[in-house]
Order: sequence, then C-alpha cells, then structure tokens
Amino acid sequence: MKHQSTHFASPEETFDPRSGSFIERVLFNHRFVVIIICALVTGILGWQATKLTINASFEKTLPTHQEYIQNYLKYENELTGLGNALRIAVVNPNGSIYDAHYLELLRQFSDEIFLLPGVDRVQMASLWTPSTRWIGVTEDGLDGGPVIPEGYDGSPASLQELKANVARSGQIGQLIAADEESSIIYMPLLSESATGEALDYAKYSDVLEELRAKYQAEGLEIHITGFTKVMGDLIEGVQAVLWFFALAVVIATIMVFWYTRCVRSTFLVVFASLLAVVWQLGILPTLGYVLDPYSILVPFLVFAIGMSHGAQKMNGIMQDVGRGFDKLVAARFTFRRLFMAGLTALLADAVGFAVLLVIDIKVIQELAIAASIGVAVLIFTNLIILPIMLSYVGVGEKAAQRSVINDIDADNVKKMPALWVFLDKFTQRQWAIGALIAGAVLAVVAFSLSTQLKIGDLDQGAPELRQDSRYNQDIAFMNQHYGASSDVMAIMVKTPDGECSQYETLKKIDALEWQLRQLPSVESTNSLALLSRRVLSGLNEGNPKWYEFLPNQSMLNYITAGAPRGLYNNSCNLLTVYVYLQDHKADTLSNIVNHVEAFAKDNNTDDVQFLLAAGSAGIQAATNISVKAAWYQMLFLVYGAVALLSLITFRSFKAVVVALLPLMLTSIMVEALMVQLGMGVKVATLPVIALGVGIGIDYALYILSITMVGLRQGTSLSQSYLRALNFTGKVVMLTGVTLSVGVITWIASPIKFQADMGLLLAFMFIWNMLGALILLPALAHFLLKPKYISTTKPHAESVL
Amino acid sequence: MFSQKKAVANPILVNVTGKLLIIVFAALLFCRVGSVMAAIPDAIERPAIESTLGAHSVLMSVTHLGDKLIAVGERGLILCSDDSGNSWRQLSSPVSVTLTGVRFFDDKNGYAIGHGGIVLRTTNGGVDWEVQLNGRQLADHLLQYAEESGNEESLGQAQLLVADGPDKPFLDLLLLGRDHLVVVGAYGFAFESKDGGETWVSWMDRIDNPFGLHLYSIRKQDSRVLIVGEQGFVALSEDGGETFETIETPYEGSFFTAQLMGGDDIVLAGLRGNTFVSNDNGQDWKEIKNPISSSIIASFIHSDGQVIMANQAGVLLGLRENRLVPLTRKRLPPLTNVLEQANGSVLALSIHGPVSIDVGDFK
Repeated sequence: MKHQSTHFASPEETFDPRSGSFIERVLFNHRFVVIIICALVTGILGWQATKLTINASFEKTLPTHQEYIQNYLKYENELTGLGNALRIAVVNPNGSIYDAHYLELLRQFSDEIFLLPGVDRVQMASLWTPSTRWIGVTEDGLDGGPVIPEGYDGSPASLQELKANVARSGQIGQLIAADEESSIIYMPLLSESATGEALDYAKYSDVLEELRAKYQAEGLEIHITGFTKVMGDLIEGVQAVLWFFALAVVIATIMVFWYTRCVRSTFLVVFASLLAVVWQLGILPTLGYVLDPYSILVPFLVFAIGMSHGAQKMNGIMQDVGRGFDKLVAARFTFRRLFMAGLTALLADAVGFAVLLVIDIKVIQELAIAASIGVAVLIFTNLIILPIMLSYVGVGEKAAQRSVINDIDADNVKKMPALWVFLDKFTQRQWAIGALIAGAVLAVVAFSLSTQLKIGDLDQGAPELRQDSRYNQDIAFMNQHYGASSDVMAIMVKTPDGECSQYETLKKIDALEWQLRQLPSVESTNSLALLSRRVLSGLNEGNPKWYEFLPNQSMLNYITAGAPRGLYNNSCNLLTVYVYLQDHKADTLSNIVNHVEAFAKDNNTDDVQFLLAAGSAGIQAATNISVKAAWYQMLFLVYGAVALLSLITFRSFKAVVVALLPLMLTSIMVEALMVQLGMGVKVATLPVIALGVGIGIDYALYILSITMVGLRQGTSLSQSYLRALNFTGKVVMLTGVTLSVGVITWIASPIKFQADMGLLLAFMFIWNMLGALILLPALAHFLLKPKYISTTKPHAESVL
Repeated sequence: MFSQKKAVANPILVNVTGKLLIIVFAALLFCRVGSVMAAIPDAIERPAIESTLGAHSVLMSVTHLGDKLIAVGERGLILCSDDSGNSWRQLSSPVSVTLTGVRFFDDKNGYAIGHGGIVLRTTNGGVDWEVQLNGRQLADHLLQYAEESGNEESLGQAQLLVADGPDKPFLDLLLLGRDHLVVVGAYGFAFESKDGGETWVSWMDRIDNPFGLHLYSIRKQDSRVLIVGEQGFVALSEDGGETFETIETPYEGSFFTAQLMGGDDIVLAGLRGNTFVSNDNGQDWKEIKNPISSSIIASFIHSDGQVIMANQAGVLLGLRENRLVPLTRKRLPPLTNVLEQANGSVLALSIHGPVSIDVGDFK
C-alpha cells in the first residue's frame, strides 16, 4: 500500500486531462457515461433487491461433510420420531383442567389446529382427539376407550369420569401436565403441504401467534414450542434487525458529518455507501442467495466499510479543494493518491472474508460470499463512483477551508492536536515499555482466561433466542411441567432390511441405553428395547415382575409390530435410540458421543451399525466437533493471509510483527471476553475473529505504511508516526468508531447470536483501533528504527 | 432365527462348493459371532453394571438381612440399605436380568431369583452372589431327565424349552432352610432344591397345571403350601408340598399374591384388585370389597395381624373384616412389593424405587 505524500501540482498550473493512469483517464474523461452506467446498474440491482427474501434455514447451519451430519442427512427421511412437531400447552389459570369452560375452549382450539393446513392430522393429539385413549387390563384382556367419556356434557359426573380416564391413560406427563393444570395439543407438521410447497415458517408462526392471542384473550395461558416456532421467531427477529440498520445509518451519518461539517459531502458518502448496500442486496438474489440471520450482518459491514473509505476519499478532495484546486482536479488527484491504497485495504478485507470459505458450514460460506460481493461492490461505488460524484457536486467552501486549517505541518509538534501529541509519546522508550508491559499483562491475563473457552452453546433452551425470550420461557414451562427435555440425541442403529427387531441387535440397544442412563447428564432414554420391557409387563396383565427385555424373538417381533412409529422405520432397517439430556453443553455432548463411539467400536458388525447422530443435541454435537476444528484452522488461515498481505505491502518481517501483534492481543482478549460473557465458540461466533482480523489489519496498513515511508526516508520514528497520524489517524479513528457503531446496535437484537456477534465485533473494531494507535508505535520503537532501515536499504527509497 | 438357519444351511453347501469355501464361510461366521458375544453377552451371563440409579429403578423384592435391607430389581440390581431404606448402595451382581425375588435364611445365606431362569446364592451376606441355575442349564437338566425317564411328552416339552432359550422367569421363592428352597415361575415352573441349588427336583408333575399357567406366589404355613397364579389358578398342599390339590375359586382372573393365615384361612388378591378370603382351606370363598379397581401386586401380614396389600394405583390397602381400606392418602408410584420395617412402619417398593411409609400415615 503506497500513500504518496508528494503534492502533485499547484493550483496555478493548468490540469492536463491526459495525465494520470489509464483507469483514471477512462473513468474521469467519461464521467457522465460512468454516472449513467451507475444509474442503470443501480436501477437493475435495486429492482433485483426487491426480490431478496429473508429466510432461516436449519440445514445451512450444519457442517454437511461432518461424519455425523452425513449419517443424519442420509437417514433424515427415515427418522419419523424426530419429525417437525409443535407442542402447545394450554394452561387453565383458574386451576385444574377438569373444568367445563376450560375443556370447551380446549376443544375449539384443538379443532382449529386440526383444520390448519400442513398438520399431520393422523398423528395430531390432544385431550379431544379420538386417538387419546385409556387402556385397562381386564380378565378378558385389554379394555379401553377415548379419554373424553362418551356423552360428555361438562357435568361434574362426566368431569369425574374424564379424570379417571386420564389417570389410566398413561398420558400424565405426556399430554397432561403432572399438576393437571394444563394439557398439550401435539401438532406434528408435514414437511410439504398437499400441493408440494415447503413449510413457510414465518407464516406458520404468525398463524400460531394469532391463535395464541385469541385464546389468551379468552383467559387461557398458552405456551408453544417446536422447531417451526423457533424458525418463525428467528425470521421475525431478522426483520427487526432491519430497523437497526436504519439506526446504524443515522449514527454513522452524524459521525461523518461531525468529522467533515459538510452536508453535501456527508450526503454523498452515505449515498455511495447505501448504493453499495443496494448493489450487494441486488446481486444476492441474482446469484440465487437469500438473506439469513447470519448473512444479514453483511450489509452492516459493507455500509460501515463504505463509510470509512468514503470519508477518506472525501477528506482528500476536501483538502485539495481547500488548497484551491478545482473540484474535478481535486477528485482526480484524490483518486490517483488513494485508489491503490483503498483497493489494497478492501482486498485485505476480502481475504479476511474469503478465509471463511474453508469452513464447512453453509451459512458461514454464504456470509463469506455475501461479504466478498459487498467488498467488490465497494471498489466501484466508493473508490470510483464517489470521487466522480464529488467531482460534480464538490464540497462545502467552509468545510474545505476548515480541512486545510487542520492540514498542518507534520514536523511542527507544537501545532499538533493534543491527542496526536499524546499518541506520539508511545514512540518514546519509556512510554513504549509501559505500553508493551500493559499489553503483555493483558495478553497473559486474557490468555489464562481464554483457556476456559468452551465450544458450543452454553445456555438452556433454544440457543438462537435470548434466555428471556417468549420462546425460551415456553420451553422452561414445558420442561418444568412435562419433564420433557428439549435436548435430544438420537442414535441411529442400521440393520439389514426387515431385521430391526432381531434379539441380538435389541440386546445391544438395551445394554447401551442402560449404560447411557448412568451418565449424569442423561435424564432418560427411549428405544424399542425399552418399549419391549414396558409392553411385556402390559401383556402379562400389567404385572411389574414381567418388566424385562425378554430374549424371545417371536415376542420381540410381536412387540415391534405394535410399536409406535419413530422407534424404527417402515422398512425395519433402522432403529432410533433417543437420549434425553439435561442440557446441550459441549462437555455433556462430548461425554455421550465418546461413550457411544466406544460402544459402537465394540459392537458394530457388518450388518448392524450404531451411528451418530440426529436430534437437536446430536446435530449440536456434530457442529461442535466441526466448529472446534474450524476455529484453529480459521485462526491459522486468517493470520497467515494477513501476514502475507502485510509482508507484500511492507517488505519487512519486523513490520509484519509490528502490525500483527496488536491484532493477536485483540484476538486473545475476544476469547477472554467470550469466557467472561459465557459465550462458546459456535457457528455465530466463528466468523467474528476472521472478520475482526481481516478488517483490523486495515488500521495497521493505513498507519504503518505511511510511517514506513517516513522511516525509509530516514526521518525519526516520532516524526514518521506523527505524519501518519496526520494523514490517516483521524480516518482510522473514524473507521474504528463507525464500524463499531455499525454493529453495536445488534446488542438489542432479539436473536441471541446476533447480539453476541455485534458485541464481539464492536469490541474487536475498537481494540484493533487502539492497538494500531498505541501498541503499533510502541512495537515500532523497538523493531523499526530509521537507522536500521537505512543501513539495510541505504537510499533505496529515495532512488525509487 | 435367521442366523441358525444359515448355520444349518452351510453343511448342505459342502457337496456343492467344496471344502475350501466352507472353511472360509465357517471362519467368517465364527469371527462375527465371536465378536458379538465378546461385546454384549446375554443378560443371564452379563454382570450388572455399576449404577447410580438403583434407588430410582424398578425394584421387585426386598427382605431383611440382620438390621440391613436387601432389595432386587431390574437389570440385575441388588441394593443394600444400612439405614432402614433411606439410602441404598449397589452390591455386585453376576447377572443383568430383572430379579424378581430375594430371601435370606440367616444373616449370611440367601437366594435371589429372576428372569432367564436365574437363581443366585450368597453365603456371605450378599457380598458375593453366584449363579446356581440359569434357564439354559435348567433346560439341559430337564432334557437329560426326560431322556432318562423315556417319557415322550416330557421329552418333547424339554426339547421345546432348550429351543426357546432362557426366556422364562422365576416369579416367587420359598425358603425352607439354609439349603432348601422352592422356586415357582412362568409356564408353571416349580422346582425344589435341598442342596442350595446344586440339584433340582421338579414339582411340575405334582401340580395339576395342564395349560402351564404362570405361578406368581408361593406361601407356606406349618404343613400347608399354597401356590397361586394366572387365570384364578390356586393349588394347595397340606403335606408340606408332597401333593397338591387344585382349588376352585369364584374368580377367573389372575392372583398375584396370597397369604396363609392362622387356622384354615387363605387370602388371595390380584387382577383389578379382586380379593377373596376363605376360612376353610378353599372350600368356600367370599369376595372382599375393594374401593380401588387396580391390580394388587403384593401383600404381607403386619405384626399387628392385619393383612396389608399394595396396588398398582400406588395405594396401600388394609384388610378389615369384609373390605379393603386405603391406608395411604398420597398416591405413590405403582407399587411392586411391601415389607414391614423393624419399627412397624412399611417399606414399599415401586417402579421408581423404594418409598418409606411412616406408621402414622396409615394407622
């Protein structure tokens, strides 16, 4: 990156339009054509952007090449027991469910659900569905009937009968809460509607919310859980994030205006940055991408990066106009000076994003692609179109004058702003030592904390949403009243066709289940083997002495034939073992995974294989494994890429060290911050460090490149640094703050991982900026001395 | 089973494909079977794993051992309590089958029975348990016995038993001496051993049970021995078990528990809470009124003389004259067994582990 510090010409000389690079001549000698093309492109992409859809895809968050996920995807359609179902708990706030008014409302509610499109009506269950039955043992065998007694009329007698039926239905803890003050409407969903359309989560969620509102108005209390609701709430949250974008635009605009005090140019910079966002949003649907809760951060980043680069361009033009140049000439000079510099910085950002492509998780890859598109677009909008527009519009007279007043002699320390003088102290020995010791202490403390960094999600409930969100409160209600854990790990057991009920296989499952239940985090399990224990007791008149997994093939075949779906598949070649967990913490999951792996190693045969993993906790375990591997891989790659880029720019290993050490400190501190905030490494936090480092290197590039030019010319470190501060210091600060502001608004996002990302990114942007302004000169004091450079490369620079 | 068919089919291949192929086949077959066996043995041969869930599991039977308690249940669990059932620790057990009964003769010698035709014996107060009998050995014994006797019918039955494998449980146990016990179980199983389980004598030819009904309970008082079971089956011996007479009852449902009272009194209880009392060794029966139509699984005679029963609705019932009276207000989990503690209170076993019931709760 070359910041040319020489003035090109004085205002008195006439400007030769044939001067400048080829690109410059092509662009600036056909300014009007460029503007027209830009308008056309904006029109087309703007129209395309209206087609952009927001969706949340579960599968895209999966590491699709991970072994467990491969297993899951292979058998996904066979795993009926993990189907997409909603559970609606209907609470009677006035007490027990044996209340005529409550039951009438429940009946209406249940009927409405039954009629909703996409509901699997055969499997749907509530107190009112005919499938909810009681069973009793009699001398002649089994007897039973619907729990709602025949001729139910809401009278005390029929309520009493209902209560007795519920008691012997075995549904307490399943469809009816243990305290009998609420009951469940179980609502399995078909993955496709009758017409073959995929389930629209957002729409479904809206319908459920309407129903919730309706029946809460009637005096009931409603809790809804299920994957569809999580997705619906997520999409709703993403839509809320659009308001944060507006807020970020307003704040960034105010900041740029505060910096320039020029309405015209501030407007242009905001306009160019928004143009970049529009183009980017237009390109996404053109290439077939949608915006998801992860990639929605990209428009924020693109806008913020655009603002900082735009401000830099405008700063140059303003100074040239202030020195008396015509606005066109000023624009061309600025383009000449800063195009390559801007390009290098944007390419550095792009490298930071591109590194994310190696991670085998689609949302992260799409985020990387979207961000790369955004950065590419910025090259046009902010490096080309913005100067051309400025060449037409010009800048405010007063602001231009003001910018030159600030444009003071770099060598005259007394005229420097106090902040520059303060920062310059870090080029002196004492202050440098102090800064480095402070940095080292921070690094040691942060590092010792960061060793506790956990992989995975650490909170209860749906990790995508906040702990106190409506949904997670509903989950807590379900866990408390129905004892049903929402964290399920499903182990798939593959057998030859038709042999899912073989004794040898079920015996292994039975043993595995009991082993797993000994693990402290396992709440309960379920499988065909466990069912056979229960059913055997039932078949023997309910006598508990028959509670056993019987080594009798014909009995097992008989039990299998009558088993509910979900424990094995239609072709009887896949069994599912469900393990219900207390939580989905990384340690919990790895414990289970390790146990099952060891068991599978001892027990797998050519015919029968124990395969991990399905269910929310199984997917999470697989994701954790991938994320853990990707974390180090990504750190290695992003630092490698950034180091290479710095080496090319500075052509000095020591300079690379000076540029990278502050970034590393920030990376370690982010890990420590994550430990402090109880955040784990997960799909959402994975890209943060890559983005932070990729963008963070910009600061070092801006400051160090100008400092290096000075040093190579033989000026002292202090003078070189002051000159760099004067040229780009303000812009670096503006960039740091603008970027932070661009993402900090997310802390208010209803989506937990967005709030986490916003906080971590804002932290990284600010600390990287401080590192570049404080640690960089301190490190340079020890590593980059003008003497050193002039002895190794005597007069090399001045010759060039 | 398919694997057996394949194994049988292999020799037929000898002529067709040559010996080399067979050796390969056999080697493959053995390898596979070998590795399966090594990993997870059948429950009758698999020691119970260490478990923290013992006190929350399905427990079936409990007995005193000095001032300690010993309970058995699912997955080969043998538990010991030193504090009247407040806390339980697991004892090592050589099997993983559901154990259905446990009795001690003194504070050293005891037996436990269970599924898979299992009889376990301890001679050191429950520290070590040894398998005295399992279903496989039992079937082999019976086959050998039948072959020796030359009785075609019992030979056929024994061959069936061998083919079935060890899938038949013992359901109750009567301990008559240190080395003398009688076990009864599914399909009419009834065997006696007078040498601590070394050799066994079948009682099945003394009991007229042509349909092989499950035998759920065996009781002895003086010279009377009572066996009750499925579909109203009741057999009474008045000569210490030498001969049995089938008793007619007015009920055709199953009896799960029975008590021999003083004199000629018999109490039977079972399916859906049906309870009958006879005062003349089963000549006449009267039905006892029971407010809860839930199966009665277990009973005992309290030291105060009252018969107390436990049902699947989680209620203890006391037999008062002609009716059963609920003794507990709070619904417990479905109960499986009951035992009187030293202080007169009751320890109940349930499908979720032991529950102590204070005397005050039901007196």
